[in-house]
Amino acid sequence: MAEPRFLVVRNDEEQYSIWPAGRDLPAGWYDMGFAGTREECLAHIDTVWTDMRPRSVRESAS
Amino acid sequence: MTDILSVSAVRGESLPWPDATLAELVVAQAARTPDAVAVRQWDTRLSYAELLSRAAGVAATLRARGVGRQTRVGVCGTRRPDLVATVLGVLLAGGCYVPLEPGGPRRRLRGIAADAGLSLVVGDAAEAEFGAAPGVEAIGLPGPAPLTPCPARPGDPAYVLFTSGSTGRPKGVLTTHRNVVEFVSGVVALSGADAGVRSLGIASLGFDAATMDLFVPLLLGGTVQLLGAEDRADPVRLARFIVAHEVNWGFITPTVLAMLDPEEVPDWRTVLCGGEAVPAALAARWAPGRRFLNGYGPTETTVLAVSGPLSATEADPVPIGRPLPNHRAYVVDAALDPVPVGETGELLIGGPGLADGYLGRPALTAERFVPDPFSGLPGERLYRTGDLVRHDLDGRIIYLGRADRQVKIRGQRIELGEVEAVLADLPGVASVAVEAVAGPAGTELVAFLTPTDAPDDARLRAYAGSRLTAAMLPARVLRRAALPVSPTSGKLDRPALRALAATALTTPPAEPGGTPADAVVPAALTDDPVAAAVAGIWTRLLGTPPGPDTDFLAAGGNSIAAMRLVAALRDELGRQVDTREVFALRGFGRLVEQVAVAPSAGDELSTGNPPTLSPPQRRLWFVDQLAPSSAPYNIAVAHRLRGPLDTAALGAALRAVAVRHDVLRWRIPQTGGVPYAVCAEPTDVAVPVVDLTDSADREAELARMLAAGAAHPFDLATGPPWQVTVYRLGPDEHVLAVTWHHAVFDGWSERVCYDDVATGYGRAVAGQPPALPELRARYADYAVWRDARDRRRGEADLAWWAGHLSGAPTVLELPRDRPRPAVQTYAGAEASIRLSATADHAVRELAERRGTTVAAVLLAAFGELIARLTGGDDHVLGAIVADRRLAAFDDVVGLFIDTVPVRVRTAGASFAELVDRCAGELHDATAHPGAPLERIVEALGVGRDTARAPLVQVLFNVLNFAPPRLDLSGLSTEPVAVPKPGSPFDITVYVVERDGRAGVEVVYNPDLFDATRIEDLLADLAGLVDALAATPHAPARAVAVDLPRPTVRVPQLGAMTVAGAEAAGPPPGLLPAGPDGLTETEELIAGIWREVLERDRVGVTDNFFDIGGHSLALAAVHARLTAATGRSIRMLDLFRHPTVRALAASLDGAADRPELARAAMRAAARRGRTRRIPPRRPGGTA
Repeated sequence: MAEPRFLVVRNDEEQYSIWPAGRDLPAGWYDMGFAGTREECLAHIDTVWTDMRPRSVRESAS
Repeated sequence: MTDILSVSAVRGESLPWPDATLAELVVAQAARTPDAVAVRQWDTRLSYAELLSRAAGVAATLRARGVGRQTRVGVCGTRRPDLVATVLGVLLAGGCYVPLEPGGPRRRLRGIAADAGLSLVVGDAAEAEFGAAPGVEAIGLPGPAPLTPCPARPGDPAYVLFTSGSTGRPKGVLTTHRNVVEFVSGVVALSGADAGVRSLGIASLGFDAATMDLFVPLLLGGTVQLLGAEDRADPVRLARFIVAHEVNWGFITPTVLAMLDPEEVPDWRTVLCGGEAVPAALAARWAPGRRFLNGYGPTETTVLAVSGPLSATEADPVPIGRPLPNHRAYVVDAALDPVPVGETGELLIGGPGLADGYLGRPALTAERFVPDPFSGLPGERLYRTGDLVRHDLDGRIIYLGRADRQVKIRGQRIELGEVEAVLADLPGVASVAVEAVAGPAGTELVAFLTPTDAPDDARLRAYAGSRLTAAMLPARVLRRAALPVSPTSGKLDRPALRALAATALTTPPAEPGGTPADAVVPAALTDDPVAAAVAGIWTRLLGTPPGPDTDFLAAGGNSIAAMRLVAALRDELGRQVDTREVFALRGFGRLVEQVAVAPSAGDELSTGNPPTLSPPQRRLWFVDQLAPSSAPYNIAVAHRLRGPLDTAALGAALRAVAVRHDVLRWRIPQTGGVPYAVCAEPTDVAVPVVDLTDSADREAELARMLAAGAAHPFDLATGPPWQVTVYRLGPDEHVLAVTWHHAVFDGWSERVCYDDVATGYGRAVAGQPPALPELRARYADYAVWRDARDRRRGEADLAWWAGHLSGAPTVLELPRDRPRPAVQTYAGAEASIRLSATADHAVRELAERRGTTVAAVLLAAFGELIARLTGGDDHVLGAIVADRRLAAFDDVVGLFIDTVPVRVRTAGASFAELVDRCAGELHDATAHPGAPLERIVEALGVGRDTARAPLVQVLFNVLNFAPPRLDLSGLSTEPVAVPKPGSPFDITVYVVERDGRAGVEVVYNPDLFDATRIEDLLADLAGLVDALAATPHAPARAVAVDLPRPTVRVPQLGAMTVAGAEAAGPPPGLLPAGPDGLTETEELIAGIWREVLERDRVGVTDNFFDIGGHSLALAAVHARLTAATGRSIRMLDLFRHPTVRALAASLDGAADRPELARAAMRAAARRGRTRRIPPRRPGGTA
């Protein structure tokens, strides 16, 4: 049995999450072009989400 | 309006909240009500203005170190009002606080600090916990500073709370100002709080409920009623605190709430209860007549996400309520699709309470915070709680359990995986499984380790204690060859483990060599084996069987009983409970709960050891060498016996006592200055009968002879260390007098001895053999046990003492009437006083209110008196602690006590605070037994001085026994007062209770003090106790300012000197001699020093005690010097002349034939030829 596949997704605050592949993406969330098993997606997020502050906070701080 | 949908989804109503930071809102509130009380703890009150100026001081200090927006700062503070200022200070600086609980597991704290990237930790406990942490600067509390604006924005993090993580690493939840401000707005609306709110400040800062305790009142203009650590730990004190502080609003866990009585706290109108499941029965007790709300929320959703009122008629499981304003709740299946209303699923929470995520853990954050497909709000997230719930028909949510391996132990959220991960890292552990099961005291953890010889409990505790919180430590650990595996799945068989764990918890641990408690136990308690065992011990020690609510103090418990209780629990149940816990728990039922969760004890007792001296015995031996003709360490008692006395039977009984208690047959000889013990064979005890029937004044003669007998100088090396005399006053009237050397006896031994004499005598007069049963352990077993304990704990305890006493004065000079003799004398005189009935009552009441003993109250008053006498505020007194820590020592005669220093600091305190300090001191003194007094004296580098005892010159003896009765068959007995033979200290204060009233007795040295001064001092002490106990919350120094009177306070002219102090340095004309500037006597002494101190060189002017010498080393020098010169040299002379040069000069000056020294020198050189002789150096170094 194949493991369920997920997408790496991100919102306008540049917060990452995962979403089941093939299911409608909720409003305000964007496919980041990485798909894989849950573990693969989470591992990918670990490498790309380097500044975890929401975008609005990050921008107001600079 | 709550919006109920057809699927399991509910929304809270909309509610606006201020777009501002917490700091800005508190500053704005302070501007409106600067003088209102913001934080209170008993007599300490901080107004809003004061709170802010202190917080601004913290903020200024932090900003000077670069703290700004989003900087994380550790907060490590004790539970005092300044803790609130510290938290607010970090926020004012723009930073984000990370709570670090003082006293928590050290490695876990350090790990959190490292994970949070902390370089600054601020708070009154920062130095103690993080002073030594590399890369972390610990900052105490700075002074106030002017307010500057807070640079943070509402979206910036306000705090990071670390919660248990399943991988073995706690995870930090990042919560923003916006999260908290929105939550406070919601909970205020929900609970109806207003400016009159006086909140219950009970949550630990690391628990997110603290946010509610602090910021609900601070954003409204109300008051945080902040509980101190002790008030928080004791339900009686908690209730008292709530009443005294007029708490009217507060959040509490059901476990703690269950310990309170709603009728005792009628003003507490709004009770929020949660953190774990609220039983319906608890709601039934608390809901009537007040607003009673259930509250649910993971840290990730900011304190509470779901809440609702509970009525008195709920059924288990009770509903947790509906979403807070602005929050959404969904119940979903495994595919995250909503389930139909009423079906069980995982609870997802959405809304502005959602935290940013987990600090530095992107994958974990992405996994738990998922896109919201339900609300239609773009880009929103939902937090997956992992909690299983369902909706009832009214749209209320009902909590059913966890979807994963998270459990709650005593309100703490714990991932079993974290406990497993930590235990798995312990060397020697192959595999681990931890399960939570219901135990006698609620949910308990049981750990399974492989292999069967996995590390024992002691090692496990030593390892895990610094890595896991108390609630995370397993209650029981089982070691097995393998863990059970399910035959179907091949995975770990967790149901089987849980069954094993449940069985393990209800079986008492195997105790090698232990004996079960055999006392009669009330039937109601016997179904619980732990309760039955504790009840058996309790009954034995306190005399009456306890009920679940029996209070320890009310049942007659005191510090000794607590200590013995703790000893018996450890010895018989293998459980380690602290004496402070006994006082904090008070109630029998709570003690049982604590025992059930207490870590197991690891002290091993070996028996059958040969005679072995303990450290206090060696110390008394040394004093005996120093002053061989005085007897300050004798213990003397006498009893008048009316009726026919059978002296032969008495002799037989005494022989039986000496057979049973071999320490009474010990001799303490020495070799090379090292004392050791040997045991003499039992012999018949001939009881000398002194006939006073013909004496003109029998009572006067008796008193004279009792005094002489009490002062009998024992020769410890050759003779028995005790003696018995019978005085015959008439055919049917005798006085039995017994004197023991303290080296083989203590106050507790008295009772043991009387009981055994009574048993033996009873048998002997009945014509039976008086033999007594063999003891489980003898004194030598204690000495060996203690040695192992001291070796194990010694370094740590010594370090504690050195730190604790650092900077303390080592000399206490009370105003006196005569100059101090150059050599300490041991003359003794006595005086006593009893408290007035009012003072006695007030003292007892205060002791009970502060959860401590009468002795601690009297010590506090005595400390205040001393401060007034010396003008200082920091003193070291001696206290006596009993070391009978194992029940096996209960019936053993011997010296089980030790003198320990207690530091009494009196500055700026109310009497109640002084009492707390003294109670803490007395507790701490018993908690660090591994370093005997000599080692402490050595570690502190206290200079030796023949004029006074080192470090402790005033002793405060809190060991208060009811005087034991001597019951001899066919005789009526009554105690006869015997004068104390001498005073080992300048003054010894004994706390006593006579005829139901507390008082003190003192033994003092009349060579220093006149009787009138001491009598006045006691009268003033009693007066001061009376006044202080009546006004415990006033500054102590301002109470009864006319005490003590001038005759106590002002020394006699010229008395504060040392009499006949000898001029330093040798008499002229005897030096120098020899080719390298040393006389032959100096060479001789220096050689002996080098041998004894194992040093290559010693300087002729080095002080013996500065270069590693101590009392027992001095005894060794004495023995060798005596042997080398063939002269009788007083040990005292070595003390008085602590340098090679001074001692040599003294010896040469006093010697009849100086050539003796030269001959001895040659002999020593011959002996020394086989040893390495260090090169001689010029300049007087030998």
